[in-house]
Formats: sequence, C-alpha cells, structure tokens
Amino acid sequence: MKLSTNALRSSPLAIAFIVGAAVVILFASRFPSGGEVGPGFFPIGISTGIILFALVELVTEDDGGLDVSDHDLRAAGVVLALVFGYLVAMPLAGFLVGTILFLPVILYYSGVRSPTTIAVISLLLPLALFYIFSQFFLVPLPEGVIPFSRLLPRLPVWVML
Amino acid sequence: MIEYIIAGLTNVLNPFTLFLMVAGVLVGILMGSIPGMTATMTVAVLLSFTFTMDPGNGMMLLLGIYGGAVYSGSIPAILIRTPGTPSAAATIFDGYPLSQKGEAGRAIRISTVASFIGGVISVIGLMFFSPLIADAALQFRSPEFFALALFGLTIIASVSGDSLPKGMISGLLGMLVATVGIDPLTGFQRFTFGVPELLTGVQFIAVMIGLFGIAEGMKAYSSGIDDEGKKVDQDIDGILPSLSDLKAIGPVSTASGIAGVLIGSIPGAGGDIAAFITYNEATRWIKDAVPSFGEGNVRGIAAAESGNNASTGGALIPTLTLGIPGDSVSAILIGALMVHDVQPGPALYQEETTLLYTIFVGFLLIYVLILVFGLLGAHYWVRLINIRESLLWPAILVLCVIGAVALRGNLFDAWVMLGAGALGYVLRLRGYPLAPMVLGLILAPIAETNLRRSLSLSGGSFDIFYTSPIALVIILLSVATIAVPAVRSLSSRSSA
Amino acid sequence: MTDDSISASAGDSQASTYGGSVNRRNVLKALGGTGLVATAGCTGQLSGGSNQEWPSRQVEVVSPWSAGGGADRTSRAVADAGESNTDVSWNVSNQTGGSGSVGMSAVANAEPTGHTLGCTAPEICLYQHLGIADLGPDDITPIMQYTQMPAAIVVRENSDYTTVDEFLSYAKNNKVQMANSGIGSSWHMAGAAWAYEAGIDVQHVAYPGAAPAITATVNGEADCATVGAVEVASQVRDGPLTALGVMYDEQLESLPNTPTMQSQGIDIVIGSWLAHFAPPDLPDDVKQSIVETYNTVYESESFKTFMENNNFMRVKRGPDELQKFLDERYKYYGQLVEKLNIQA
Repeated sequence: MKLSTNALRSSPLAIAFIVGAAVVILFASRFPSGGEVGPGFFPIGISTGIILFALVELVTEDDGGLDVSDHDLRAAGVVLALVFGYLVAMPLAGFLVGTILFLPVILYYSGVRSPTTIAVISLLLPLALFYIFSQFFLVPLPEGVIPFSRLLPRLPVWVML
Repeated sequence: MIEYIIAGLTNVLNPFTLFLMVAGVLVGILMGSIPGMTATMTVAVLLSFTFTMDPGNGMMLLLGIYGGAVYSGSIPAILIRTPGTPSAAATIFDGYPLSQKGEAGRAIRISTVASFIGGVISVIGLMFFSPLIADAALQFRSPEFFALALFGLTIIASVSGDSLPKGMISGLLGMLVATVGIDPLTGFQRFTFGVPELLTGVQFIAVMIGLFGIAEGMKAYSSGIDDEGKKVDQDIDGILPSLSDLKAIGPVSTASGIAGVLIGSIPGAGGDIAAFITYNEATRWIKDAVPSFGEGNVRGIAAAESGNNASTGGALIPTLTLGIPGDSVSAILIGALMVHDVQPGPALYQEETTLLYTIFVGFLLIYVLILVFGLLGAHYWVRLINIRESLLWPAILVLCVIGAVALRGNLFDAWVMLGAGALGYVLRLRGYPLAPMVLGLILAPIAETNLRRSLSLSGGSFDIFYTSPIALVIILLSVATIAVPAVRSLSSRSSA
Repeated sequence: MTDDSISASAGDSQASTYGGSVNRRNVLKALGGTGLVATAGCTGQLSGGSNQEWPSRQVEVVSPWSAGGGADRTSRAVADAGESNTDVSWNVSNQTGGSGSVGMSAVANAEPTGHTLGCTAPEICLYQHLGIADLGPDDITPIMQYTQMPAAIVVRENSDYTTVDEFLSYAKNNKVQMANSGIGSSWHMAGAAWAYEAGIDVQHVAYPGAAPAITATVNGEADCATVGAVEVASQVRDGPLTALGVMYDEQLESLPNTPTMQSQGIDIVIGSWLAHFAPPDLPDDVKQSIVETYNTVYESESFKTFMENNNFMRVKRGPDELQKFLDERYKYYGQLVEKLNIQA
C-alpha cells in the first residue's frame, strides 16, 4: 500500500470517514448481544465497510470531485449560516416573523436589489405558506414567544373548501 | 380488477384530487424546465404539502410532479443544451440540433408525445405486472427480503457515479444513519443519546429534504446565482405534431417505453440510465435514420424521452410491490406513504387495493394531463427557463425548512435536515453520489431486520440463505454486481 | 389589543417539543414554542387562565401517531363531535416520534387549562419499563377511554392446528414462532401474556407492523401472530387466516365463529385501547367540564356512526375507572417486560 501524504491531504473526507467509523465501532462494540446477531452487528459491519472503502479511496487517489475552484465555498457557507440563523430564530420569532426576517436577507444575498420585489416576496410568501399550512393543512407551525400570527384573521370558510 | 379500476377512477375524479394532479403536473413542468431543479428535489421540497392529505391525494400531487418534471427536463435540453433534470441528458443529442435549425417547437412536440407514450406504457405495465409480482412476493420470507435489499444496495453503488468506492461509502453512510433509534428486534436504543426524537430514528424525509433541497441550494449559490443565464428567444408555435412525425416515432417510442419500464424497475436505475440505454439502442437498431442521429432526428428524441418517462412507472414496480425503491424519487414516495402508516410491500396489494388502483388510474391520467399541457402550453413553458433563480432559491430554502418542521411538528427534524444538507454539499463537492445514500437509508432497515430475523428463526444457522433458491440467486447476483465492476476497474487501472 | 393580553396568551401556550426533550420543560416554557395555531381575532379569546371557564378558546388534541392511523382517526372523530358540542373549534395535530412518547410528553407538559388534550394507548404503561421515556400513568390526568381493540391469535387457514387445544399440544412439543407487529408493542405484550397464561414457551418474532406479521404467518415463516382481532376480521372470514381465539370477555360481532380465549380455558383479556387525557394538575372544575363534554361526545350520533362505520368498538372507561385501569396495567406490563427480558 502506498499511502502518500499527498493522498492524505487530497482526501480529507476519507480520513474523516475512517475516524468517524472507528468511533461508531467503539460505541457499537458495547451494545448488548441480543440473540444470534445482536444490535451491534450492523453498525460494526457498516463501519468496517466504510473504513475499507475509504482506505481504497485514499490509495487510489482518484479525485472525481467537482473542480473546487469553480465553486465559491464561502457562498455555500453563507447560505448554510443564514438557514442556521433562521432555525435558531424560529422558536423565538415563530415561523411567520422568522420567515419575514429571513427572506429579505437571503433575497438580497441572491442578488435581488429591487426593494419592491424584496418586500412583496418577503411578505406574501410567508403569509401564503402560513395560511396554507396552519389553516388548510392544520399543521402546527412554531408561533414564537409573541404569537403575532394569532392576530391574523382566520380565512373565511369558503376559501378552505 | 375492473371494479378496482372503477373505484380508483371514482377517487381520482374527485375535484380536489383532480386539482392536485393538475397542480402537481404544472409545478413539475415548471421545476423540471429549470436547469438544476430536479424531480427529486421538487418532490422532496413539496412533500410537506401532503402530510395531512389522504394518502391517495398526496400521491397524486407527488406523482404529478414526478411525471411533469421528468417530461419537462427535455425542454431546456432542447432549447439551451442543458438538461432540466438528469434524465433529459440524452435528449440533447437530437433535440438541440433541431432547435438550432429553428425547429424547437417540433422537437418539444415530439418529446411531449414520446413522454406520453412512454408514461402510458409504464403505467399499464405497472398496473398489470405489479400485482403478479406482489402475489409472488407474498411467499417471500425474511431471507428473500434480505437478499432483495442487499441486491438493491449493491446495484445502486455500482451504477451511480464513476467511482465504486465513493458510491459504496455514500450507501454505507446512509445505512449507518438508518441504524439510529430503537433496534426493531431487541428494543435496544442505538445512538439515541437520550434524545426522544431519535427513538424512531433519524427521519428519512428530513434527510432527503436536506440532501436534495439544502445541499442543492448551497451548490447553486456556490456556483453563482445567474439570472442572466441562457436566454431563450425562439418562438414556439403550432400545437399538434405532424402526422408524418407521429408515424416516424410510433414504433421507437413503444419499444423504448417497454425497455424503459424494465430498466426503471431495477432498483437504483432511474430515468437518466433508462434514457441513455434506450437512446443507444435506438441508434443501434435504426439504420435508415435521416437526418442521422445526433443531427436532429426526431426518433432520437422519442427514444430518450419515451425511455425516461417509462422509467417512472417502472420504478414504482419494486417500490410498491417489495418496498424497495426503483430510484430516488420513489424512495421519497416510500417515505411519503410511511408518513401515512402505509407500508409498501406485498401486503399492500392485499389491504390497500383501492389506494393502489387510485395511484394507477391517477398516474395514467397524469400522463394525459402532461400530453395536453405539454402540447397546449409549449409556447409558455419555454419562458420558464428564463425564470429568475435569485427568487426561486430563497423560496426553496423556506420550503425546505417548513417541510422539515411540519414533518412531526418539531424543530429537531429541521436541524437534522440542515446537517444532512451540509453533509450532502460536501459529499457532492468531493464527487460522492447521493443516490446510494438514499437507498442505504431505506434499505438498511430492510436488510438488517430480515437478516437478523432469518438468523433468529434458523437458530443462528446461515443455511437459511442457501436453502432458499430465490434468496441464493439474488445474493449471488448482488455479489456479482459489486465484484464485476471492481475487477474491471482494478484491471483497467493496472493496464493504464 | 394591549401588549399584556398578547404576552398572557403566549405564556398560556402549551409547551411543545421544539428543540427540546422532556427534561427541559422549563426552557421550553421560556421559549414558549407551541403547536397551537389559534388565530382568534379578538382580545377576549386570546386571554384565558386556568381559572376561566372551559372551553374558552380552541381545544387542541395531540395525536402522538401519524395521520391515518387509529389514534389519529378516532381523535378527529372525537374532535368533530367536541366541536359540535362546544362553542370553540377543536383541532387535531400529529406530533409523532419516540413510539408516541414525544406527543404524549408534549401534552403532559402543557399548561393544565384543558385546552390541550392528548390521545394515549397502552404504550403509556410501557415507556418507563422499556426505557423509552420517563412518562407513565402518574404524569397525566385520564379523561376517557373510548375504544378497545382486543387481541387475537391467528394462524394460517390450513395449518395443523385451528383450535387453542390443538395449538397448545403442538406447542408443547415444538418451538413455536409467534409474529408480532413490533418489539415492545401492545400486541407483542398481548402475545407474551397469552403464552404465559397458556403455559407455553414461544419465540417472539418482531415485524415492522401488522401487515408483514400477517404475511409471514400466511406464508409459513411464523406459526402464528398476535394482532388486533377486528383488524384481521375480514381476512379471517374470507381469507387466509384462522383465529384461534379472542382475548376479550365477550363474543365479537365481527368474528362470530371465533370463541373467546376465556371460553377455551385461558382467562385473559388484553389488547390495545385508546383514551384521551389532559396534563396533570388539571383543576377539578375544568376536569368536570371536560368529562361532561366527553360523555356527550361518546353518546353523540356522529361519534357512534363513525365508530361503527370504521370498525372501532365503543368501550368506555370514565376518569376514575381509567386511572385504576392504567395503574393496574402499568404494574402488569412491568412484570411482563421483566419476564420477556427486552433490552432497554
């Protein structure tokens, strides 16, 4: 096996998989043995498979990934962070207010500059989704600390039929 | 059977159900027309709308999206040489040359009719053959189901992506995630860390929304949201394809349709593979092509489009009869059914016949809708390609979040979705295919419980696997599926 | 609308499961996330403490299992009848997960104003024994049980044993494999209890749901299955199954040819059931009003029709009777789980 440092550097994911799988094996080996093949059998078997194929991946240095230089990793990070913030805010602001706050930011980041477009989408989309889910589908959405959404009028019955 | 068809038809002709089918087809056509918006993503992101619907109605919406998106992927393939969904990639070969000659309208009409023919053949195949398969599968015991799940896992790893190790790792990761939760055979809690939301496992649908919504969104932003893109200025006029075109594509559409059903029904082989194979076969069989294939032959478009749409109904065959998904979309459909406590498998054909025939009849009607909207609306659909991505992606991200929250009415699943999205993005970036992970998630519990149940029934003896001829054959097939490409890649590497 | 009334209603909202576990109930209350979607337009309906009349605003019934299942459908029928018998709207939401414990815990941790009710089943007597959740009969205020689903043992139609006696004599000499619809489920427990009462040893084989358990019984992988008697009635009447007996104290209408287990010498009444409950510490007057409404609902024509059309037996236990029943079951299941040696 020729494991060059170059291969290690070019496949950080494979390394992460090996480490992760090893941790899983450690955990699963403490599972009780239940019957012929216990609850630990599959997690251990799967993790062993991951380690084996990740080793193959390291050795073959087969870089089939997308060309990273074509990708602005920061942009992906920003989107992830924005959705992260959106989720953090959800229990506090509720779905309605949270979405009304989230949309202008992400729209602006997407390159939309027209204030009218941003305002119209950021208000109408959350309201439409709120009504569809909470009143038509009866799916509970987070209301937040201050349930502003309760102040909205109920839809008249004919709209719901 | 007739009475079931009538019962299904009665369900489908309900105004709300019809509305859902029309809405599904239109949304599917819309999203499929936009490069980068796949059928899988659209179904995953809009799944939440079906959570409280009756399962039949929910399936109509999702199948409408599925059929519509697989069809309309051909529109940008023809017009701007970019497939709207992966399954339309083979449509470019002859679609784009026609478009360059100023005959985009003709190409789209051909694609519409061929999609319709392929789709109808597939639904008929589904309606007549799946009950037979389900009937046979009623005799399947745990060893056979274990073998089937194993087969699904190996085939997906070998057909998706260029690298077998990457496909395997992706599939194994999915399987590992699926082991979280209460062990179905002993009741032991695996990797739950005291989180009650994890007792029933990591929610498959939340992971799907993450992998296909959030990860795709991150990828779209990282490659740059481009509102300018390739503008379409060609005008589409006319509605019906010419009689001579119809005559030309009739046989090839039918043959490709039948082939598409067969390919689609192999677990893991979806519309993209079906279309490539049917297109290839068409170029091999038709010697008198004028103009030749690759230069705008209508029969080339028909072969690819009939093939990929035929794979939709084909994919539903193993999905509904065995609970083993034929492609990523049908994997999500399994998740959608399980939200309603409907477990796909042979017992479904005994207990939920009305639901099944509603699905069959509805899917047939969906293809009629696709034909009608495709022909009447071609003039408008081409404008959809110009839709501004900068408006679409924010809306998709919101829909992802609402979908995960609505799943069980809690935020935990939304965090799972976000985590899956981040992982999916990194995997995509490094060239790992995501489809094996999806299949791994669905198939691991089937493989595990059936393996362990077999062994506990046999008292620990592995004889139980080779005393069943069906199980033995399928297991050998699975081994071959992995071994053949592995040997081939090793030998090609050593000779290189 | 004053700020006070808004925040009053926020504090009033029931705890839910957003981002939290059962143990973090205080944090949850501080965050105030809620599953309730009331959009009452006027101030009067937004305020409402525990001293107020019940119902003073929308009543939410949490089904801890997914839409389409028995708990969900019957809860919706109760809510529909409740709505026609009160001045407020009733809404059913599904908060699933943790074998039902997530939704039930959400209700158990809600404000005890009676505006959040929940659906429960035998599982509430099992969570603590199985280590699934720290939730038991003491953590809820039982309101009413409205249905009962007796268990039955089924075998395939042309098997060598079609009566309990034949089955038992077979089981004395052979290893019997008994299919169930999930480990730790009430059907698994019923099967185990029956085998214990009958004095035989069986190997329990878990399947993901009743349908695959029945398929396995029909194709011979398992020798028998413990399932809901009414659920399989049609497959027993004209299909591939034979029911050995029903674990109930009277003959079932839907299975006219199947005797009870009691009449065959095995004295056991077990299965599943559904009931509604309120959070603990419910004020007595509120409890009284809810129970009265539930009595009306139970006798209402719409509820009766629903139950009949959907093959649910109408069996009632009032609050006190239900409390006793829960305590008794809790102990009983505890002993069973110990005997079965399920890992938790």
